[in-house]
Amino acid sequence: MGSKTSLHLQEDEIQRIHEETGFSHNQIIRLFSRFTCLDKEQNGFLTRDDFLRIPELAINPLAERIVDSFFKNGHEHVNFRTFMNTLAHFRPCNSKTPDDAPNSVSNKIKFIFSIYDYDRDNTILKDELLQVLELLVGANISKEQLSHIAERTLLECDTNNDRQITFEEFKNEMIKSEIDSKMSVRFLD
Amino acid sequence: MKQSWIVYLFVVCVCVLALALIYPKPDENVLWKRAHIRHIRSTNASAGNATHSTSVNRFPVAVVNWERVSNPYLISMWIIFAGLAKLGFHLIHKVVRRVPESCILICVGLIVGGIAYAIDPNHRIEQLLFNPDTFFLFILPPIVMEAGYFMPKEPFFDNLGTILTYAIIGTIFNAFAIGGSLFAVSTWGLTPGVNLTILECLLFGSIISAVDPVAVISVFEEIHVNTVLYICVFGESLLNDGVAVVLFKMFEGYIHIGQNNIIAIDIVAAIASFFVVAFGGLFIGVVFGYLGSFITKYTVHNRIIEPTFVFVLCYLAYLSAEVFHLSGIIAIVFAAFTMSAYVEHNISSKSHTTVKYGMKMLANIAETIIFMLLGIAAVSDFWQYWNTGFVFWTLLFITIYRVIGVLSLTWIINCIRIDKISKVDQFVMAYGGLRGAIAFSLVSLTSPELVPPIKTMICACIVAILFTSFVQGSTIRPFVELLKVRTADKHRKTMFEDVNLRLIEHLMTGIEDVTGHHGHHYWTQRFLRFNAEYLSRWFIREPYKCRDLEILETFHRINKREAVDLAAEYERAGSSGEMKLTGTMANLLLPYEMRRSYSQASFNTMVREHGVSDAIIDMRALEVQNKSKAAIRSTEDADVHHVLQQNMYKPRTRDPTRHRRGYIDEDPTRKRQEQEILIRHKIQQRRQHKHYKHKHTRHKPRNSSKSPLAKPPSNKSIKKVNSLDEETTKLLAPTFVVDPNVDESKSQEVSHEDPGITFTVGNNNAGLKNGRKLARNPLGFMSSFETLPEEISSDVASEPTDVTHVDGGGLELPWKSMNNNEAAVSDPHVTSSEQGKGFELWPRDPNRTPESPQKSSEEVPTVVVTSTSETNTLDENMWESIPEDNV
Repeated sequence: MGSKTSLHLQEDEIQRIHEETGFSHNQIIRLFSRFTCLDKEQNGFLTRDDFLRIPELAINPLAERIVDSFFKNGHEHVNFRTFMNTLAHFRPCNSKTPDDAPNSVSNKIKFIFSIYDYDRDNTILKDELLQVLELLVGANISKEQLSHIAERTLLECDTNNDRQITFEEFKNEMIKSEIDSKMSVRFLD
Repeated sequence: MKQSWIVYLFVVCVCVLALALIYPKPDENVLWKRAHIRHIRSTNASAGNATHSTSVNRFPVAVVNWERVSNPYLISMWIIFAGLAKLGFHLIHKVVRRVPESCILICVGLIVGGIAYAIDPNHRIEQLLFNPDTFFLFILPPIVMEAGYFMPKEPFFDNLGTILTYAIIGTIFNAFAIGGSLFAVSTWGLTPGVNLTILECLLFGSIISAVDPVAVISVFEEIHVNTVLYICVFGESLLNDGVAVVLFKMFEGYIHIGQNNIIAIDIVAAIASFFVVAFGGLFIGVVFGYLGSFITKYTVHNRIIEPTFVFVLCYLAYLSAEVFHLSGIIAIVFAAFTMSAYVEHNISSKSHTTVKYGMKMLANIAETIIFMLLGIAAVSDFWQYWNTGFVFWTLLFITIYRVIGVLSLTWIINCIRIDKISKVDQFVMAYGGLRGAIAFSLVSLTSPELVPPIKTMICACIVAILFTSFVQGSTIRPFVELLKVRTADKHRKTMFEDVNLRLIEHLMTGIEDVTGHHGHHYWTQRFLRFNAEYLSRWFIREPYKCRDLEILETFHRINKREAVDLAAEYERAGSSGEMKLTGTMANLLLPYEMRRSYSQASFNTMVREHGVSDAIIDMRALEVQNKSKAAIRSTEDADVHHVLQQNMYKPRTRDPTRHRRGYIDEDPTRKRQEQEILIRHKIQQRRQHKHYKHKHTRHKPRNSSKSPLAKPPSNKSIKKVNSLDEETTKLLAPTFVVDPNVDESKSQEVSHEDPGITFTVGNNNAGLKNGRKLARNPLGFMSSFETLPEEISSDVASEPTDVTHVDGGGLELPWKSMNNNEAAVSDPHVTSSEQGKGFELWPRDPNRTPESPQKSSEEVPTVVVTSTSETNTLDENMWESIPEDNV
């Protein structure tokens, strides 16, 4: 299967993706086969439905948000390059990772931030926080309690007391937890 | 200080002497059985006498039958003295911080052994307490059980692969490398005096290769290294036992068979037996763990026996595994490990506390005994078998191969791991490879007929244990500091972090699903889901709430913590005498949300609505907090908890046991009564303040001649009241939490009517975990933020009138005219011991008392905080002991 699908992938394309994302040659081929596997209609791009057809992902409470993160700028399709660029955020990083690489700590944090930031206005409001919280917890916690939790979370992060979390505030708070190891997936070679 | 030194030293000396003197002598070396037989024999003999002899034995007034109880008696005395010695050298330990506790214990053991040896040189190692059977059956299980029960779950599963690699491959490598090398040097003639066969070498290698959990736990508990490092060393030491025992049994068996008769099938059988031993132990452990969880699901009506199930089932797991020659250690570790996940949700909070305390207690005393006995065992006659060459090579090889093993395995593991194990961590890991009592017991299990040079091996083994314990054990802390090993994360978990961690967890699982590679996150989530859907349903009484409520729990915990910080801040501000909290008071009291837009009233409502039933704080857990967690918990946290404990009311109705068993009538009248008791108590305290203050300004207080500890807590707090009369009515009003006056006063000045703050403590979080809606406490409003309206008030001076107001206020209370001391004695809410503690914790400056009136006369809107009287811990039991006629 690997050899067949890699036929669609030109060598220079692999090279370009490698430069952009840092994935190794084998990883790119492997992920490309996964990509084509997800692409049921064989039209070279993925739609939301393609993603949500993954059974495990479908039951993920954050499924919608995760899928959203692949669809940038309102596009309805994800081609392989965007797909790889999104996944690149989850490559392991170390202290030598340059700051502008997709897998740098800063970009990892940005990724999480974008999951919260539903309306893409670069601030997280309480409502947005609440929405994510509602996704994360089941029905056992009342709305009111969740609201308190959201308020609390907002306050911890909101250093300048404007009732919204900017990316800088978010980053300052996130940097404390070891985000680099927590937000990394091992990609098979 | 000096005096206590002498006292402590004296105690230690006495204990050491006593330990040596009562150390069981060789002729009384069998445990209970012997005593029992003796007892039967003596009764038989006396019975025979009675029937056969003609002389009639008159009925004795008193008899002495020492023999019957001698052995258990001696053992008990030994434990007591070991405990006392531990108390005694604790002070020495404080002085000599660098030396780990285990080393000191071994030293004490050496001294005891020396004295015992001097008294009776014939005493041998195969004796009452430290024969391998006693060790394996009684002393070792509590320690590993405790280790399993308190093993942090998440880090363990996160690093499972790493741990198993070290435990299995590392130990096998070490055993063969050490054994092989020893054989090599012995054939080259570098160990004159001993002739070793390859199997003997390998046997010894398998004994000495395993890192000892007891030694490792006791050392790593004291140095707070980061979680990954800790769990790797800890997990390895626990799980490598399976490997070590298998290897030991294997080589023992091979020696039996004879070197030349071994055929391929034996080797295959040995490899198969490894899986049987390790996984069999694991299986038995997990089965017993789930059995325990299942049983505790149905103990609602018999709370008292809950801890028994936990302890005994763990022990049964150990014994069952030993029956089939499986790894008992693995079995008991996993039994406790499994149980801890479910049992907590089933048993009552008190039982949970008991379990935790019991584990700690047993493990602690067992550890003490092990190290002391190790020291004692070192003083024996096998030193005549000392062989310098063999000992030297042993030490060299165990050190070298430990380093090589760790470095090479870590190199392989790091290729796979996402967060790599750093060089420094690797060093600590290699350096922390301590050997201990398990190795010693195994080596003394081996019979000299089977392995002729075993005495030399025992000797080398003891040297290895002492060397690793003393040299490595005591220098590891300086190394950790010197190399700046990443130590345990001390910052506290915030709500933000908790929410984000959950988010990341789900996110990573999602990403793994997208890439189609089922990694760690996938399996974790999978297991969690399986656990939530099936296991929890079977093994937890009220399963549906557990996971979701964790986030709520964190929320409450954080709130609680913030409240504690507030209290501490108050205390600091209070003791400095500078009360400039006016502006920030509102902020301090309303730690979140309310700082912004909400009114106080709504805050109170919120607290009332979900605070009471859901407010959770794990107070007692602190004292029994596990070793593993202690590694990541700061001592500062403990202090705060201590302060908190002093500060908190413990509403008695939160006791689910009694509540459910119907021992307490939950009729509203009684609640009402209790409410009144407290309110009256407060009023009374307030009045006493007045009395005291007025007297104080004029002449000395009545109890000034007494020691400071005897002072009732109310002396230590200062209180200003603008209008006591008004407050009294408020206090007795049915709803005094949400006070309509609040809003009015708020408009005038922020702090004008700021309510005081008292923190309440729940028994434990079992209430929440059980998902049980607990009954309101007697006051109906206690929670994480409990507002008691009368505690803080801005002081507009005019006390004299107030006092007359109240005195003539028509409130005929029985203790109205009592002075402070009497009140303190008769007061059901305050025990003398707590007063003492309270005083120590917050020494009040007595000079402050006269200072305050001056301040008030300046008409500065200063807020004076009182704390001690209101914040004395109300124990549940005290609540229960309130006599009805007080009301």
